[in-house]
Amino acid sequence: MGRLSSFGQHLYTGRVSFDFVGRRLLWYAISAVLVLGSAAGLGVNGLERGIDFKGGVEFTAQVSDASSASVDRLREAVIDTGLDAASSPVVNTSGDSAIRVQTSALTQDETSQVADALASAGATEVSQNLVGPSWGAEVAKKAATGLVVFLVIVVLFIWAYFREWRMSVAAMVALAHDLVITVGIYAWSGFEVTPATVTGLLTILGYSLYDTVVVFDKVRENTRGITASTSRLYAEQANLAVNQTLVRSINTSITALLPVGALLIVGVGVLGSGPLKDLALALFVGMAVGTYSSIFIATPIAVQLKERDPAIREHTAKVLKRRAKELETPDAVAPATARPVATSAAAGRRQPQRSSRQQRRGR
Amino acid sequence: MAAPARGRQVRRPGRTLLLFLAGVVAMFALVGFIDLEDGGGHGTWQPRLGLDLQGGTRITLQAESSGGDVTAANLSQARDIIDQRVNATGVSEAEVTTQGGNQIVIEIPGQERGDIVDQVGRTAQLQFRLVWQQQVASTGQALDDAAAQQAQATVDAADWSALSLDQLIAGETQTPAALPAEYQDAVAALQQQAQAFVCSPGELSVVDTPDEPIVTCDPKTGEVMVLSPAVIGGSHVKDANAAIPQNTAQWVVDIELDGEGSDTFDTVTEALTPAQGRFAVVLDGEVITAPTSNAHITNGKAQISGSFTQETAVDLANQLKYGALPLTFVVNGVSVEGPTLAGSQLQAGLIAGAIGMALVLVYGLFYYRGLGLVVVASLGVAAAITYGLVLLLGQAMGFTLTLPGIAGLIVAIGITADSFIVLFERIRDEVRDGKSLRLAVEAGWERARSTILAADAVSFLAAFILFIFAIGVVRGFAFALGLTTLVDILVVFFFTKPLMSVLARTKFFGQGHQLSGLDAAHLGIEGRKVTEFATAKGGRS
Repeated sequence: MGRLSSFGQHLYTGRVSFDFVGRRLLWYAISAVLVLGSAAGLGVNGLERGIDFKGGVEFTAQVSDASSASVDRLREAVIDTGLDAASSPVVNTSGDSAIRVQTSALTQDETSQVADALASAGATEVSQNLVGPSWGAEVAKKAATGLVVFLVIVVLFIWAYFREWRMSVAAMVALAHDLVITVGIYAWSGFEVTPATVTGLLTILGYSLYDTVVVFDKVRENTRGITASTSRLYAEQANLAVNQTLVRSINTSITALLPVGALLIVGVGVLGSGPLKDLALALFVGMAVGTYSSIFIATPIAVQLKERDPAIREHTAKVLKRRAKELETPDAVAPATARPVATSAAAGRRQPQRSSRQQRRGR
Repeated sequence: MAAPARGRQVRRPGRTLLLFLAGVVAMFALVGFIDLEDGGGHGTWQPRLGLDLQGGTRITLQAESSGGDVTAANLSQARDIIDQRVNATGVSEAEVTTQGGNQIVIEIPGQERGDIVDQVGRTAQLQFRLVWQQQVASTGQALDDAAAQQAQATVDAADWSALSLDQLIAGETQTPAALPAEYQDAVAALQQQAQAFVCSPGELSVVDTPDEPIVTCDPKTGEVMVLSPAVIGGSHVKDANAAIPQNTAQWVVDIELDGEGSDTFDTVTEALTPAQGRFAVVLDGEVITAPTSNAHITNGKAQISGSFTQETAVDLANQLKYGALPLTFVVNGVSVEGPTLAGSQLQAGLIAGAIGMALVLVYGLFYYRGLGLVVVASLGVAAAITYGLVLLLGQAMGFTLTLPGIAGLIVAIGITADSFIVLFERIRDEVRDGKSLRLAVEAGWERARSTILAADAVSFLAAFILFIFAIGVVRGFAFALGLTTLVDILVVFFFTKPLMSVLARTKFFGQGHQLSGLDAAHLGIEGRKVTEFATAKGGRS
């Protein structure tokens, strides 16, 4: 760990620096591929909708031993009821002492009939979940309303907090990015989408923004009063902020993913498929993507937008000019300073003295 | 983060800590106290568990917009009626709530009663009508479609709402022929309908339009009647009860009408009583009773007698009382969870929570060493407060812990731990920047504070909006998430930070012991001790 700490120190001082902001085109490209892939997945596969979105009845039968034999036995029992809607039930094990049976829509009487059939086929307890066809749609509709309200409020909040609409925009782009990719993963993997998944998705919104706010806060701190100085570029300071919060981002992701991972493993191990698994899975995927986006997407976009701001553009030009002048003096190191102002100056261009110190210390 | 705050930062962190801990103890004392007060049905120190964790039935009904205006008032009225209906089925401890602006949720803990769904969600329309013609001799020959349509069209064509109450009564006391001439075609059509009416119990499909006369029958007796437009709507029934009056052996049903209903009833009974006239109580187009008016009722309190058994009297009373829902509902979901399934869900939630907590603690100790103890203590305090709040809210406002709620609490472990991480990293940044440890704690806090507040605000907003808009079990998740976010702020401000200030004064942490997590090597600073200021500033410009 000591190594990670001094790594943290190096990140903090800028001795080790990853060029998150400068290589943004690379990150954008990676994300664009992921987003397009997700969209394609959605188009090709669509989402595997759970029973809550289709309507129907789900029975959970407790059995002494959930095996393929007991699955077959229960399936027969359901089919033997002779009900049309229960003629082709989906039956599978869920954990090691429960079997899940899904049928099409049944009336309450028919539900009891199937439950009785399951009980006489050896189930010690039968739980039922009858879902009307409009339930899932209702959940989705409410979620969509919530989403819109949330986005509006958060855009305003971030704008008010950072006094910077560009950060709001960047955070929203990162958010959309996380959502699309998470949905894409669901489309490709064929994981079932249930109301718990929708909950997970909405929670990701909060988490993704939470992470972005922490990074942006550091960006703001580092770039405060930047126009008064001529030694650093906005982009460089922003990149430094991302590097400085990198250890935090890593630690945070680990501490956030550990409990969610526990939830996922226990959910699958003890309960089989169910709300716990659906929720944890959506969170797990979304949090991982969310951490990526606040580092690789949100900050570069914020910087790119900020660089269009006349004051910052002017400042960037000034700093670059000064650097160019310095380089004309004897031991010039790098050529890259002659870049036109219009393309942004990448953050990773280290100042000469820093890179030489780095070489002195052998890393 | 702002400089002006610097003057008031080093206060008595020890005192803050003690006050905070005293507050936590006081909260638990309050939990115990409230329980003493109400006598507590459930265990004091156990949270109220949701249906998915203790087993039970949940029925979700959704109002259809086509069945009337879905307003908050209508929904709340429907909720009350359904609540009464549920109680009337003999189910105890059921909880009926509205949610999402158009749904009613019935939760019955510990019982598997999916069977009541048809009884409680039914939108029955109850009306009091006058009996214009009784004991119609029906031919039993249904009209053919064309004739039935024409008869109905004739009835529909008349403007029944133009008739006054007195005219409606005259229709009964003096036969429908006494109605104004323009209604006679419709009356003839009604008679035609009545003679052709087939009274088959269970298959009645009479369109019950309140402001038109209808032809229907009492399925119990088979008596076919022509009934006037409704004179009193079911919503005017204030109360109805089955009882056996003193000195008698017969069950009766007492009904009580509200002001408007009572006035109309006054007029109706005054006119009907001398003639031994009848009125009919019609539920969804079916006559449930058609008593003879035996007395002029002026106070809206009437008694229906007849050959009731206890069962039929109670049924009638319930139908009268809970007859009409202002909205039409469809069944959205019925979930019945048995205790074994619920038990294993609870177990899974607890195991996941324990593992998640343990993993985070181990990671904290591993990475932050001595500071990891601060993480352990802070998370421990946060967990204690959250548990206390769950107990308190359970007692005060019936908050129940559901499986998604537990998931929310588990997810929150990470978010809570992150606040500590932000604080620690800021403190370490300040040390790297050249500050002594004691000053770094204060300066790091100044910076971390606003980050933590902003990030938690976003997280709380997300939870809050999710709670407002979500339906079903999702709300439990959102509530847990929002609750823990607030707890997180409390703990960071009044526990973790003061604790850090106190610890910075100890030898172990303040001098940067190599296991403290604040030692020079661990922080990656070189050439000075953590208690000293750096002579030249580090990498920051």
